[in-house]
Amino acid sequence: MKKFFLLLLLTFSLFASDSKDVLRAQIIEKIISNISINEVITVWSDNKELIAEFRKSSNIITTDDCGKANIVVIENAKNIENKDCKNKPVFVLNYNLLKDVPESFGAFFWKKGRPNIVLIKPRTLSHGITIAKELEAYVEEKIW
Amino acid sequence: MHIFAFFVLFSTLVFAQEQGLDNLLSEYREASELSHQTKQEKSGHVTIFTRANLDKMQAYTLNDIFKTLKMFTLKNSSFGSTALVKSPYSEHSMSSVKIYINSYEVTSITAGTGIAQFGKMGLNHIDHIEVYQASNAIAFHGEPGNMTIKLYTKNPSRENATVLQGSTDSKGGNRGQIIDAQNFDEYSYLANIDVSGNKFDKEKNINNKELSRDSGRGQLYINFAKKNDYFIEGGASKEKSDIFNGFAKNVESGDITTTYSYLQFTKNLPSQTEFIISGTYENVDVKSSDTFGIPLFDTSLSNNLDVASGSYTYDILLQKHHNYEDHNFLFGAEAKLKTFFLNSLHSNGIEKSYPIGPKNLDIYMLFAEDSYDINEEHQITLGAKADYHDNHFTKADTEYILRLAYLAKLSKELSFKGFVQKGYVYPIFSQTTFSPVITPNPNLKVSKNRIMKAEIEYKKEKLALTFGTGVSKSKDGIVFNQTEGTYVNSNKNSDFSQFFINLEYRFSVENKLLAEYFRAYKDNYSFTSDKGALVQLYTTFGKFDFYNELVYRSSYVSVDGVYMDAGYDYTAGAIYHYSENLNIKLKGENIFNKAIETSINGAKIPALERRGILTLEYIF
Repeated sequence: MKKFFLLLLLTFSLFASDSKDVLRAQIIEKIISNISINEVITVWSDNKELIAEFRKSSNIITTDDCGKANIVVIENAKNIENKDCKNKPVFVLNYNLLKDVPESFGAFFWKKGRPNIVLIKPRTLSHGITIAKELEAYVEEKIW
Repeated sequence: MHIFAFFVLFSTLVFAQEQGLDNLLSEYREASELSHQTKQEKSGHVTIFTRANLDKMQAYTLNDIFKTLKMFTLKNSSFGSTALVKSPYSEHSMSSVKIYINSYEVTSITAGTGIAQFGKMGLNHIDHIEVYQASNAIAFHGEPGNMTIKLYTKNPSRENATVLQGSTDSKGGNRGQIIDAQNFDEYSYLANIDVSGNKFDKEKNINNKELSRDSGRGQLYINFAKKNDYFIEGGASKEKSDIFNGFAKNVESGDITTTYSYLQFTKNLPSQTEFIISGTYENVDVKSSDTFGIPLFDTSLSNNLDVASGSYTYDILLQKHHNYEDHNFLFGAEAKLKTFFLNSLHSNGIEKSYPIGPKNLDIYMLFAEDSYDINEEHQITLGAKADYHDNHFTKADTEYILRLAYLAKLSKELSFKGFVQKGYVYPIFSQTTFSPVITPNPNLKVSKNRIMKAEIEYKKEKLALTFGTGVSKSKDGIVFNQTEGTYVNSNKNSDFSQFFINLEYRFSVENKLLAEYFRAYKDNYSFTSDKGALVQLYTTFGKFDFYNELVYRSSYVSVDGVYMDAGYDYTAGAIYHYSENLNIKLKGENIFNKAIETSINGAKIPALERRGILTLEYIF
């Protein structure tokens, strides 16, 4: 069944050939590749699909130990409570987490049926994060 | 003409591929479209309107979608509402169209489907629309339909916003919409309110009497869900419309007030089992004054007619999916209980008695379907449904639906779909039970039909080319007999055949061109366009979205013998995304005022008039 429906999905869903997990990982990888923090970036995430995709890429270094990461990507704030990485720069996968997690500096999220990216300038500065020109269009001064 | 030239020039200049993150975001949005999860290729010829398409089209109402559908023409009824008419039949024939909002089946006593009442339904809360032609009358459960339109509401986890939208148009109409959708852990809700005042040009009938179809409409939709557990949704709408031509020849004044409300509860049970229960209430109040008098069912004449009728419908469904090796089974049982009521029938201020026919219709349904993967390239689906009808008036009967679907991937570029279905159309209350102007026929039999459809699709890189064809045969078609003044089962041939060709070319994720042509063939009379075409151009350029649409329908001679010119409805729109929070939208409908028209008592009117619409959208 599985194979047939996969085939159909690939055939009938025009231009949806890249799965959304792959594309999501590519987007976040592109964001991380365009920021710098004066050291080699190592990423930890509470999202297993995302980490699995990152590991297929040669452009991003991942770790299973969030204490060794210098960029943390989360979808649930509870997953970094009481962990060594809770004070590290955090990129969130839900806009509301920007309000809940003071260490968060950016978000990839859905709003009005569209995926969005936002980077909060004062927070990137407080983490010593430099943003490349390609990301300037996504920089905002404050959380809405 | 200048506007047309502007849009064409602009649209053709901007096919540059977007680069970088914006392009990745567009690709991600497209790969995440909810239609990828809901679309059923085995269930018919499918046309999808994604939320991105609906946004660019500035599709505010269902009519904006209806007018583009192949094999159908959006026309008008004598009462001012729109009618989706199957080519090349007349607007008086039943087109067997079903509308679903999520898994709720819209039902109406007045027309059998929700088309008449829901044409002006706002689409602000709708994520995407799937239109199935030669549709699966088994897997979609409920009453059978040859075309099924499935509206899926927005996913609150992707909305996370409150959006306010206000529109005003060049005819003096206006629309206000507000939607709020949020997601909290495993809970979510969506609420949408839509209020509109709809204005149209006044028309003159054959006696030089002014006809109006202005209306006001309000609708509310709300849902609340717990992820993978339950889903509660409900809707209510009220529309008051001038009666336009109404029942007869020389209407003085009158209006139609329609109220509709429903509530549905869906529970996900273990082992891919789903339980759905719903209740629907509908009320239609018609007031009409006529100088010459409206000829009623009993041959009397009414100068002032007041009719209030309605219905209750209860539906309960249990269905289960089960996978075993290469089989994907669907089993289900459903009961639908419909009750018609006549609140009042006053003619010239005096209450009339009425020899009413069956007031109830209980339908008990059993269905099963098996989709079997022959191998990786071929799938066959077999389905059967038994519907037991009891109207507590005439003898109960059981009707059967049988369906075969075959899907094949013939090569890397070629795929094939074929469907054979044996089904039926059950008469509606206005034919068997009550109508103020005709004598109902409680002894009407169901109309049986058989359809055979196939399509072949070629896809390579950015191009998709589809060719489809099919034949339909029916027996005992339900038609109105002028001599007898009632509906009868016709023994005349109403078979037809059709073909369509569809081309889609994607310049990039946000830029695409769609072109479509269809033709329907019928041996005897054709009362609606038998040929049609559609061209749609979706374009994005920086902060601007552009949309161009041309709907062609061929000339025809209407039921009343009036020759109607071919229609060319050109619609165009532009959206300026001013900021993260504000969008400014401009749309021109039927810009050349050449859309296909309907002949009603001397007046020739398009379903959607030439109109400019300005909209401001604010996102909180």
